[in-house]
Amino acid sequence: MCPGDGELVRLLAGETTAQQRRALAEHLEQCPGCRDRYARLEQTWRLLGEWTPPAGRDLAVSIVAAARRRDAVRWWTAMAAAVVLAAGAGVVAGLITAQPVSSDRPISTAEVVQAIGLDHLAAEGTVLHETLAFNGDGELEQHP
Amino acid sequence: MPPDEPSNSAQTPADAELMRELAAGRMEALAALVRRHQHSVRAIAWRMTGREDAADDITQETFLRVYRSARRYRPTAAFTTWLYRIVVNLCLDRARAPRMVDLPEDAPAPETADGPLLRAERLEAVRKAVAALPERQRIAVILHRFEGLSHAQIAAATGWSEPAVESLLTRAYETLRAALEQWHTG
Repeated sequence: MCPGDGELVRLLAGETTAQQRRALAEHLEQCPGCRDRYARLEQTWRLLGEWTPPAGRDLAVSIVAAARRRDAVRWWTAMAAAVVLAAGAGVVAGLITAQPVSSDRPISTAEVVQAIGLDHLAAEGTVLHETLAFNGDGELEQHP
Repeated sequence: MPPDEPSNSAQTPADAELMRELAAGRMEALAALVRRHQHSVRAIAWRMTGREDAADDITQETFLRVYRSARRYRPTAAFTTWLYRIVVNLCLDRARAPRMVDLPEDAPAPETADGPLLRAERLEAVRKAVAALPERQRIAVILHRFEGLSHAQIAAATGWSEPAVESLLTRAYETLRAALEQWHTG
């Protein structure tokens, strides 16, 4: 049985085992049709082999330089992204934690005392804050 | 045949060893990989695109991808199989990208015994015949005839099955034989 073109291609490319090579060689010797097919394939193979690329320059230095440049660009991009993210996170955090002062809620005496720094006096044994209260006009006044 | 992974000696570290060094940040390893494989990568790109500038661009991008992937690289297959897959994909991307059609450059006719004109015509016929092949057949032939990859290696590099590679090669060589018959001698 005659070998297919695929087998002849493998024979040309040296992809056959020694046993396959022997069997194909024996067949080609006895079969003029296959011998002719193989000869034409061999000519094509040889013609293709003449098509060689032009000699190129060594690209190692330029490729290593390009890799370093890309690294630098990636580093700066990451840094810029980190700064933008951090700034954005700060703004968002500020918006979440900031609470508006309610004008409806009455301010307690204790809060006022703490705000104006009188609470440390209480810690020293005075009872000052207990004598402070708002009058009807919203002003702080001291009661005896 | 493509070069097998060199022995792991001090003079010629294997590709996998160079990839480990590259993953550790040693850029000399990248230069060594480029010097070892740039000829094959560039030749594939040149035969696929027909242009030297395109071949240089693709070669550079191929090795930049190697560099970028060094930390993730696992040597489960030959380094060259992975490398050829990258370059083939880049060639295909370029061919499919709009406004990236590469026109062949005019190559100076080399002087030979049978005359520069005749040889230039013959080489042009070969170039046109290969360029006219369907994309997958062209890739298979370039890897097989010019880079010396076996059917199995082409299958590994492209992701196609081995019978599919056999079929592509058989059809491609038949087409090339018919196209180049007038250049056959005897």
